[in-house]
Amino acid sequence: MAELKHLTDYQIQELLSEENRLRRSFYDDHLSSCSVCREKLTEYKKLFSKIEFADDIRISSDFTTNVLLRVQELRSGEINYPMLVFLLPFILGLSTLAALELSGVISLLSITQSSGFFISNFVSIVSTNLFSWLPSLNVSFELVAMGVLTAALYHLLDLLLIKPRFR
Amino acid sequence: MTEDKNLIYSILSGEINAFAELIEQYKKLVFHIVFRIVKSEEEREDICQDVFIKVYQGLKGFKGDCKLSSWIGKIAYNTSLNHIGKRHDDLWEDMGSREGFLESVNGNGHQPDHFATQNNYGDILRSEIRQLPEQQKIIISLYHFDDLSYKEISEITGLPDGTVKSYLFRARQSLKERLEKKYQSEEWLN
Repeated sequence: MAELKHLTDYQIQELLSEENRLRRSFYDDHLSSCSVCREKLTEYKKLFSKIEFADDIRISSDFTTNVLLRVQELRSGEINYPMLVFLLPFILGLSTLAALELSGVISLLSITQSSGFFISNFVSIVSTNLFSWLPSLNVSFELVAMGVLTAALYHLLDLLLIKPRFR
Repeated sequence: MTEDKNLIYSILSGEINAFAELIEQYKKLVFHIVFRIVKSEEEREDICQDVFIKVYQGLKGFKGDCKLSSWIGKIAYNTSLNHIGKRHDDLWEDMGSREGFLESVNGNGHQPDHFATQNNYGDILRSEIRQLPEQQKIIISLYHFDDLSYKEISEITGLPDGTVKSYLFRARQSLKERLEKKYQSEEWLN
């Protein structure tokens, strides 16, 4: 008689496991006719439900704040990549101006000493000199190359350092 | 999983509040693991902090090939083992045999206690769980307190699924047997 063979503790616990609910039907016939196993199942059910409320871990209320303080200390010493991406064109612009000044194409001193609106003078002198100077350097190709390179660099920084890789 | 991805994206974009949210979400899991492995009460909380610092530093390298909970749990598990200077294998080999463990529980001359003398069932079970072997405590905590699946526990501890199940079943069986030995069955079941 099959019902005389009781379910093991292992099988009864499996019945109660969330991941093994489907197996329950295999044991239902036995459980409906075996009071010993039914009683054991009830005991384990109660044990399971009691365990849920036996958590003994107490976490101090300032734990999160303490971790965040340490993180902020770390952040103060690390490179801010988004800021770097914004700074990059600025740095490139300054470098270009410095190169133009050094090569004598423009004179920053004369620009700052000129009368009238500083910004409009500045832009006018730089653009006039720049556009008269750049054609001699095969400008069209270099401008395109620089644009592509800047876009690629930005995309690379964004992809590898700013956003998570698995996005 | 999508929520986890959004959270990670926000953290990597520099939102400190998003990291605070991550800590709130996973601190219980980290505490359960660290507290079960590290004995020194003074050091436990510092180690939990270290775990979250490692999580913060390693987040951009997280590829999403497992759940975020498993990844954080694994960092907590490895950090705790490193702290106590044990290898994974040592921890699991240290466990005494089940027979020896039960003998120590059953053969100590205790007469059945009365549940009524304890404050509540939670205290009784907490006390009994504390007396389980470390490995069983870790697994029972992760399964019942943190609602992790066998697979997630397996990813954290590096044990095969079957072994996790086996430890878990053994822990519950030990717990049930201990309660039956120490208390009248009708008392602990009520």
